[in-house]
Amino acid sequence: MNHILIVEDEEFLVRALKDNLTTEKYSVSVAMDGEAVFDELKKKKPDLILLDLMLPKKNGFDVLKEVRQSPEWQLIPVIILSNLGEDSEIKRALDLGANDYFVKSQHPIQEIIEKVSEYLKGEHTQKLHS
Amino acid sequence: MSLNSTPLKELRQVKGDAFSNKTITSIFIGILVIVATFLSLSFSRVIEMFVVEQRVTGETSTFVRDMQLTLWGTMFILAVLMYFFIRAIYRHQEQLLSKKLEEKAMDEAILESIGEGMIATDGSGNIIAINNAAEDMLGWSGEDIIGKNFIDVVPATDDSGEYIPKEKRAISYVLINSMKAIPDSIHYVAMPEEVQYVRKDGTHIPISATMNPIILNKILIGAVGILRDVSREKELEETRRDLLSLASHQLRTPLSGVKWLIETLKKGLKGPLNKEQEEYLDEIYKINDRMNSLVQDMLSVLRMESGVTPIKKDNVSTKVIFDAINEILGAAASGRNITLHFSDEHFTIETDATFLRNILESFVSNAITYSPNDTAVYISVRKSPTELVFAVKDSGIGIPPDEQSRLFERFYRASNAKTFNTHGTGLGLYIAGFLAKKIGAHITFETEVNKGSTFYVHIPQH
Repeated sequence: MNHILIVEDEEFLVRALKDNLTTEKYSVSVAMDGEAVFDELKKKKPDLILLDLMLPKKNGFDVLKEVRQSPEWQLIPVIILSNLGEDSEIKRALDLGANDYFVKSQHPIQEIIEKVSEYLKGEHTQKLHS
Repeated sequence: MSLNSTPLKELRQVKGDAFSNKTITSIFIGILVIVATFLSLSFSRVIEMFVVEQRVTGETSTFVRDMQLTLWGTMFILAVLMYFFIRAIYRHQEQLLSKKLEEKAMDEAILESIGEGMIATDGSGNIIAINNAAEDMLGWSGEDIIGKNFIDVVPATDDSGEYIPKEKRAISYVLINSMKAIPDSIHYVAMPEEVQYVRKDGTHIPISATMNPIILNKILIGAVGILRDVSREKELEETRRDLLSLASHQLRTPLSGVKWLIETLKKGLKGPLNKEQEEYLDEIYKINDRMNSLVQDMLSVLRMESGVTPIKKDNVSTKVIFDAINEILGAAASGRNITLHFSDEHFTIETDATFLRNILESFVSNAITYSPNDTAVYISVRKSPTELVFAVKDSGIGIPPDEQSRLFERFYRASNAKTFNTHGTGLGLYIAGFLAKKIGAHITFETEVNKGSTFYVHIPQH
């Protein structure tokens, strides 16, 4: 069974994501700030990470950088779910090694769920931090 | 104010100036002496002849004495005239010089009072003058920098730290291209650059500079640059950008929450819904989407107005743009049975593709919104010698004549638009107009109430 780590500080968004993912029969863990991420990563290694960028304690960009630098986690697909929409921010995330980027307010949640299953089926090549 | 203590540092040597007064006087005296010598030689010849004649005829003649008197008398008069002449020239020179010094003092005072930095170079780009403000900005003292080549001594980088090659510096452009421009026209070639200058100590300073050629009698004799320290502006820009990011995030987050939670309910994940519950949810969902569009538009406006998004210039195919528009708006159109027709002929255009696409999206979106069902919208592009013109034609409600002048105002919605569709934000055309200006394009339109409208965007091409 595939395991997904949700990194998001807004409760209601966590809830929506969790409910939709568990319906698809994925197991889910949640981190609600930039430091808790690493606790959760150590507890159980996920097959995919959904990462918000604006997080308390440590922001999503720094989390992404560290994840991509660690040999244990650098190959895990990371999908950014953010409400920052600037081209420069998107580019920065992709340059740091994110596999995909969604602006939450502009996509139905179903789209995200479908993209998750695509990545889990291995339909996208793994991206390594260059 | 003596030349030695001026705040404006410059090379003391001025080439090709008028000769000094001493030289003129010496030359005149020299000429006088030579003329006198020749005259007296000629006269000696004549006198000799008369002496011989006297010997031959035995008569004493007063001729020689008279000649000598006349000669010396003439020379005396000439000398006096010369004296006055030279004195007049000398005085005139003095007047000119003091006037020149006065003007110079005034210019220097003006230059020192402006906050901007100024540097002047010769035709090869070597610095010949610099004011205090520029000295401070560049971290160089006048004495040290004068005579050196500007580009060699003040390198520049872009914001990411990459050095700008010498040929791409504004001053290079001005010095090279002004030479090309001179033969045919008084074509003014000024070049701006917004870069980071590297100061003498290696630190960077953000500068907005304009370089201009100095042309005298159709010859390029140098360049002058005006430098402005934009550190404060850059700081403000960064603060605005951060604020924009924050606002963007804070506004969008609750909207995405509502969106996803309703979608989750509608999927039935929390149990089945009765018909009325579904309808209510649909209503809430639509309201939320309206808010979302409004926030999206307002953030676009904020972003544009604060100049945060830089303009790119790429070669882009009109086909790519049309395809993108079809993808984005095709569904909305077919939902009301409106067909989108795209013209076949395609061109390559040099512009910011995103901005252009946004403008056309705005037009097509309006065409769809304000057309009745079962009509068509025509999107085309044609090329003229000077521009590329895109057209978006609809058979919709048109724009009343007395409201046409306000169409591009922020939040303005025409009266018939408001009755036809209560939801618009009034920002679409405002944004389109703004974007058009940014890419150097302009917008025109033709319209007739209840017949339809055609909106054009004209992109100049060289």
